[in-house]
Amino acid sequence: MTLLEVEDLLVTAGDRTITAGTTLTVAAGETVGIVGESGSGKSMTARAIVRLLPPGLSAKGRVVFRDKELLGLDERAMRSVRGSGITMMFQDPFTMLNPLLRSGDHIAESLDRGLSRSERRDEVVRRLDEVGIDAGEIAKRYPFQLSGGMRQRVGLAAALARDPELLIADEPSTALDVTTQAEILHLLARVQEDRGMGVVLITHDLRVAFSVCDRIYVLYAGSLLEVGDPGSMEQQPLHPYTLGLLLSEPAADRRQSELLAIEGSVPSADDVTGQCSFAPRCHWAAEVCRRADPPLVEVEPGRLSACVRIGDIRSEMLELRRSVAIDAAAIPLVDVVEEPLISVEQVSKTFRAGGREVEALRKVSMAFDRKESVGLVGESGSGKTTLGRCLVGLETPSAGSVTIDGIDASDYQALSSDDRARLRRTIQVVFQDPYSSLNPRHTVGRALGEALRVHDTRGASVDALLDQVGLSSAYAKRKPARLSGGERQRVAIARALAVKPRFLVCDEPVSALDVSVQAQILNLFKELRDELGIGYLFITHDLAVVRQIVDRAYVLYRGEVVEEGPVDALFNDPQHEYTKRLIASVPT
Amino acid sequence: MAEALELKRTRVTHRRRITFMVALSFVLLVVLLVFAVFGTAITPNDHEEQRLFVSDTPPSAEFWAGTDQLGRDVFSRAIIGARPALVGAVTVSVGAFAIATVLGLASGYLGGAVDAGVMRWADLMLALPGLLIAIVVVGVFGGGFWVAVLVLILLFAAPDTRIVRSAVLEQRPLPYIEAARTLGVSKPRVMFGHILPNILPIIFAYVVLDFAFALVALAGLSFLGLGVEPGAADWGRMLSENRSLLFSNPWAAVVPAVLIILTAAAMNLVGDWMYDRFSLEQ
Amino acid sequence: MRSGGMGRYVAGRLLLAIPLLIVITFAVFALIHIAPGTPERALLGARQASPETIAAIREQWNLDEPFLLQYFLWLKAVVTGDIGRSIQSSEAVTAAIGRRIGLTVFLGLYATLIALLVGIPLGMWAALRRGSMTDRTVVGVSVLGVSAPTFAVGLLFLYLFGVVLDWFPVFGAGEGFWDRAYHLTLPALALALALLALIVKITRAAMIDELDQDYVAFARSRGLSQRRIMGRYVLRNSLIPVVTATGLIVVGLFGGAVLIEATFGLPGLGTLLVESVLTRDIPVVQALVLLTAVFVIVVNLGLDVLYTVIDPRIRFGSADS
Repeated sequence: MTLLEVEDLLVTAGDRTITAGTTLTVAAGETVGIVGESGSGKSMTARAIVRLLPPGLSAKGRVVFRDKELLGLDERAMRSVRGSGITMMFQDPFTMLNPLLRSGDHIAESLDRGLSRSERRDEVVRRLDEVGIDAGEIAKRYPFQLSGGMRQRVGLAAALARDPELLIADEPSTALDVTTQAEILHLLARVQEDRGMGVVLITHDLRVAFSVCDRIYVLYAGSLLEVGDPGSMEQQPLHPYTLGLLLSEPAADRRQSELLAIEGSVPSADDVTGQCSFAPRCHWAAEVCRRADPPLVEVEPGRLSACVRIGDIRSEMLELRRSVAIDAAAIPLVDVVEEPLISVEQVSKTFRAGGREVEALRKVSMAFDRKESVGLVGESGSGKTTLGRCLVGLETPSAGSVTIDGIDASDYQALSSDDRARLRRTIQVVFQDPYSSLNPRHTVGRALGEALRVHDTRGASVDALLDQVGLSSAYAKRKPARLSGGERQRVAIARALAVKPRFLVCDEPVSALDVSVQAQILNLFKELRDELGIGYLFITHDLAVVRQIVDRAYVLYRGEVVEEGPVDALFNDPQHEYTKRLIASVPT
Repeated sequence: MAEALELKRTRVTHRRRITFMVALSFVLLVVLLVFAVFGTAITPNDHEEQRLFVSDTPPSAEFWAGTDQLGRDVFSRAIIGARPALVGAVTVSVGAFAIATVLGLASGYLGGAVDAGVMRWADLMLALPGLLIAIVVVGVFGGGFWVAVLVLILLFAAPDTRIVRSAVLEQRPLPYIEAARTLGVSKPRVMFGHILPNILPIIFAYVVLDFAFALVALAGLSFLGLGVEPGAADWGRMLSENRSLLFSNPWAAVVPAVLIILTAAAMNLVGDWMYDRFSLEQ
Repeated sequence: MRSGGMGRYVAGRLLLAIPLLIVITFAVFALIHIAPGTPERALLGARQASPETIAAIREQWNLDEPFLLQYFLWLKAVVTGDIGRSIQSSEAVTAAIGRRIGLTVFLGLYATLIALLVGIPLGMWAALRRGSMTDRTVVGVSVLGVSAPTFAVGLLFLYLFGVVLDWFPVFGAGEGFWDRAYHLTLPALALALALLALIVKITRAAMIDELDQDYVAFARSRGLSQRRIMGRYVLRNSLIPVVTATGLIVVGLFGGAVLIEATFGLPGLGTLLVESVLTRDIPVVQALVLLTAVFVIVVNLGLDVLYTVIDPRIRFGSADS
């Protein structure tokens, strides 16, 4: 039974287009996925369906829920549809719940007025139980007293409180750890089955969509490019974008010799009107693609594509897909040098926050050789970022020692300025967020120039640095605001390289980037390593990235090293419970 | 007064374009600037001259706003009054923020003992109502325009330091600062080369907002008899002196009152607009 | 924090207030020594005095003792209730203050009430109709209110409503409750205008912030009633900035009250302050500053307690808030 039918949904903000002509259907018991990167318009599409667009945005088209046209309804009528008909769960569990309301009350407030107090309490307990929460304690707690995963569960229970027929879940797992992600997706699937609900899952992660959805809609810059079932889409995508997306996602099951990246960056919907929105970046783009907005047509039963050239390029695409699928490279073994460049001995770090003590690191020991690529894998709270910061002097260990190139780096402040300067020339850092790791008021040239001047690096120039990271010298005059995420990260890397370090600590350097750009940067890292012979410490939670870039990895859990070893061994034959859980959580 | 400063910063508009009101405010401020700069050159009559035979008269062709108790031309005095108003307001806000920027940068970035010391000082200054302190201190030292300006600078410096410090604290944990630290950039360079350029726009907006508060505070002190000397052509002073004329020549009091209100409102609108523009930019 | 904890919290804060008071009293005491001229001269003001009078003053104020001892002796006197005598009128300072405090308190409460009862609903209304004509008018008027200095406004009100329209009396404070209320309406309104504008601004901003929050959107998506959302989600959560605003307003009342009393010629604490400053009546000035300091401390404490009641994050001390 079809629950929702959306046709030609157009979302605009004044004269700016957010999405153009989206079409989708959801039936009871079905999970439908909307996949897209940032700027694709997926969240706004969802909000348009439940009529909760932010002020300034409006929607046109047909949105029919169980034979009722939703776009024309007045607010009162819409209110009765929300909650018991359609309901939406938001992305960030940390802002989704009312901070001044107890978690149990989030559910209780949606329940029938007529219930008695004890009936209400029982109902709340029952529903919390449904989402895997052992009520008692939790119902009385305030959101800030719960973890991210718990909040997401409470949010889900609250969303289901009126037994809706259709649930829209906007990136329900993105803000969570990998292991929690898997749990939440599992929970969602179970709840859906029990209740026979329809679910619309919005995500940027293709792997997630493939693992739980019955049908996938691929959105790019506001246009629908492909529709199909996960199985065949994964084997043979019918649109260059989908193919590109698939290929730029690093594989978690083996190392690829080269990551295929889509050039350029994601445009806004307005920039690509009147043509195929992917044309500017498409390898196969031709005149016909730029002439008009391509319609979505059925290429095979159950599979739609908006690529006008699909007939011609199909076999080429399939060829490419297959070659990448079997591409597996061996992971090189590195000669181990006796004296490691960096050694971490029994390092502990305790933070004091609000009267409580948090042990971020517990007697952690590691060693890194020059020219090695080592991964530090863990989820939030594992202490991986803290360790990285300890290495570069942004944090000081509470106990233990850090030795870098023969110098005791346990306390940067206690060092002589010569020693400190030497350390800074040896080890540098690249941060996660490209948007805030560059000074917004300095031009690229100034930022790089400053880095060169600090340590009086000879034989290097701003242009040379830019060239090294694949940027033209024209970039020197620009300010960060005019650069895309990928370009900013390149500049950040260039800056770190300015002092000619021997080791780079990279803290989640690609997780803030769009998938299609991630691969570009990962490739850059590979190139630089080969060219310059520097070592890396790659700190990340993303196992696929680990597989592609590093040779050896440490697994961190709650401040302790639980396992360590060459990447292949780690992945194919994990020893520790936690490592096993981590690997099992990767969506397949 | 001084502590209400922080509160008054809440954004009222969310627009960046120059609206009609903001444009009007700019125009008004330019006119006042002209008054302040050219002073006696553009007054229709001598503002000091006492004409006892035409004292306390309503507006006429010769005296556009009438005369006050001593027969002085209210309109001309109002024009002259623009100078102490603007000079005082600008001196106080720029002076206060100059102090606040240095203290705020040091306190916010260096932390530790410096921060503790500066914050204790600020807390102390903010413990009592600003006007109270101003009245007492200025009064005990015998009043006077520049005494009042100095006291207000010191008074305003406290909440302003807090504002600068918060802005610094917002920037400090950002990766670009940490990157600079990791590179080994020196502390003064980080403070003045990296953080300052990023907080300068917002400081600027606050300075303009402060103009309004300083203007009002100074006029208030003069009104109470603690600012400019008696007889000076100053809006606040005029208000207090001409209060008794409400029944005969109300214009003598109404004109300076309206001028103060309009100037303060104009400064506020411009300041708000600047604040919106610069905080949205980030 | 349980009730025992609350008690401990209050006690702790009061304890912290003591050093503050000490610093303030010290500064206040030192006034006579900072003021230009010798302390005796400062205490005498402009009056002539025979050597005997001067000696008597030195005696009374312990001016021959070392500085710190003077301070302690003075502090001791203050704590036991002897704040000294006014130099102008020679009456006990406590009496002088006692006579006038009623008026100022009445004025202050009256103005606060107007500001809150009109300001909060107005701010809410503007927030709900964000961007509309009503909103823009409210915002415009509040900008004016915030910038317009109280004394100027007071004067205009005086002129408009007192002289031109003759709706209200132009001077005097009235006898008895209702007469006093009638006399104080204009001053209270003038005082309230600035406060009102501030409250409107804050309430409106706080509510707009709330309306934009994710949890409000989530509540709407679950189909909760408008009443529930406005009450439990929007209003309740906007309270904190509003309470902060009210606190700062109560403190800001002082400046305003002083100016308003001067404008309308009301014999309250404000005019007392200005008079005694102008005539260098130090004992009175000291007493008034002390009174204000104690008042501000008590108000701030009350606010902090209120915060813990409203926001559980503050109560339980999380890193989140």
